Amino acid sequence: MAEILLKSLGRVFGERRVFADVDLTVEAGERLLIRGPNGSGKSTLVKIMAGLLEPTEGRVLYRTEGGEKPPEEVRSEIGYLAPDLVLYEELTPMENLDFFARLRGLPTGRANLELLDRVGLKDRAEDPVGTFSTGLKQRAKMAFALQNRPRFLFLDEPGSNLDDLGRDLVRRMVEDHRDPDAVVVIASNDPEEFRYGTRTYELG
Amino acid sequence: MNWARGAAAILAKDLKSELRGRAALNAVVLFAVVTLTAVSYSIGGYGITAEIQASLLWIVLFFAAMAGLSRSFVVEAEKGTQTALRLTATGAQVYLGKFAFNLLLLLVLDAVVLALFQILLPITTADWPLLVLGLLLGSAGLAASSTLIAAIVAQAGVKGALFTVLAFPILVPVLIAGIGATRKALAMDGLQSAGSEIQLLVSYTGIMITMALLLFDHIWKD
Repeated sequence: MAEILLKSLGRVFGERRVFADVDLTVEAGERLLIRGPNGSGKSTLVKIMAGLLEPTEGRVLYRTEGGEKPPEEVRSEIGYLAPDLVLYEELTPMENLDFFARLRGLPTGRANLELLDRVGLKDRAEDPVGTFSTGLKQRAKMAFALQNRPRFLFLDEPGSNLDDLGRDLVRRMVEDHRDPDAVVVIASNDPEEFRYGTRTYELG
Repeated sequence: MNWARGAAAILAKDLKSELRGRAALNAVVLFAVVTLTAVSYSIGGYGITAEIQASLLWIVLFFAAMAGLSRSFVVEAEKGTQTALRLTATGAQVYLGKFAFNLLLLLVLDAVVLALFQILLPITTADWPLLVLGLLLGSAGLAASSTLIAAIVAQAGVKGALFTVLAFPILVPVLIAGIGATRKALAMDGLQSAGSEIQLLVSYTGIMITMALLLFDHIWKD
């Protein structure tokens, strides 16, 4: 059982209201596509759902086998890929993944090298992330998002800056999450990514 | 022992990043060198008392620390890496990891400043165990509170100036006790005479770490 419940969610930045009264349940096995014009709050909603930002009104709850929990209590089951996610540029992707693996209590070394191989970065495993192109950085971030085999996967503009091979990786990433017990949330304005969703929520 | 494992991982990562970039170390050491050189030139050949020497030592330590202690958090905010850290680490792991890093940085600074003092404003007589103890405990107090303040400042727009302004009133007890313990060490008053300063530094550090562990999730979250 894996569901995300959004209850009367609202967010205000200063004087500006981004959205209000978002009531939504994302059920297990669903892939929710969030669409909307620029500035409609897609990224803000994804951040709130992932527990990275506090809502001004309402709340987010995760319904799992252990009952209803706030996002911070299911952190180990969350995967997140978004433009605001940045890895340590002075470290190599391997060092980055090993560092996050230690924090997450996951194995280091070989498992992370296999992950880099999956996103096509095995040959660049020992180069600092700062030397990567934007597209290669996006691939390194994909490896970070998949490292903990998340049950709740959040993808904000996942195909941005990626070439065809990279976009194919995103497609495989979403398809690998066709698990009936997993939830995928995609925020995008890219028509190519609309097909990933099984349900659409329109903002703005 | 998740918190210990996470804190150790953050400390190791910060040390690795620091060794590659040396952003904080360069800032604190260069500040200490410039300030001490300026002070030694202005004092010239005048003999200075233990009181003045202790005050000068702590002024240099305080301002050099202010130049570098906020770096570990500010860099995470400026580069945007705090999102990944928020997704993978608890507040306690982040605080303790950054506290350990700042403490190590301060201990390096203590060693550099003491060595420079010996060259520019020589300490002729001192109760060295008490002097080192006062510096160790004072550094722990400085690191405990400035790590917490740095996390708050990292969320704000005007980071540099705000850090020193916010830190100073909170660090006054550390400065008073640190200067007191150092003065007594330089005057060879003995360990027992500095009992109240040592107690204050230990209590202050304990309280700041406890408070930080209780509050840090809220500071770190949003």
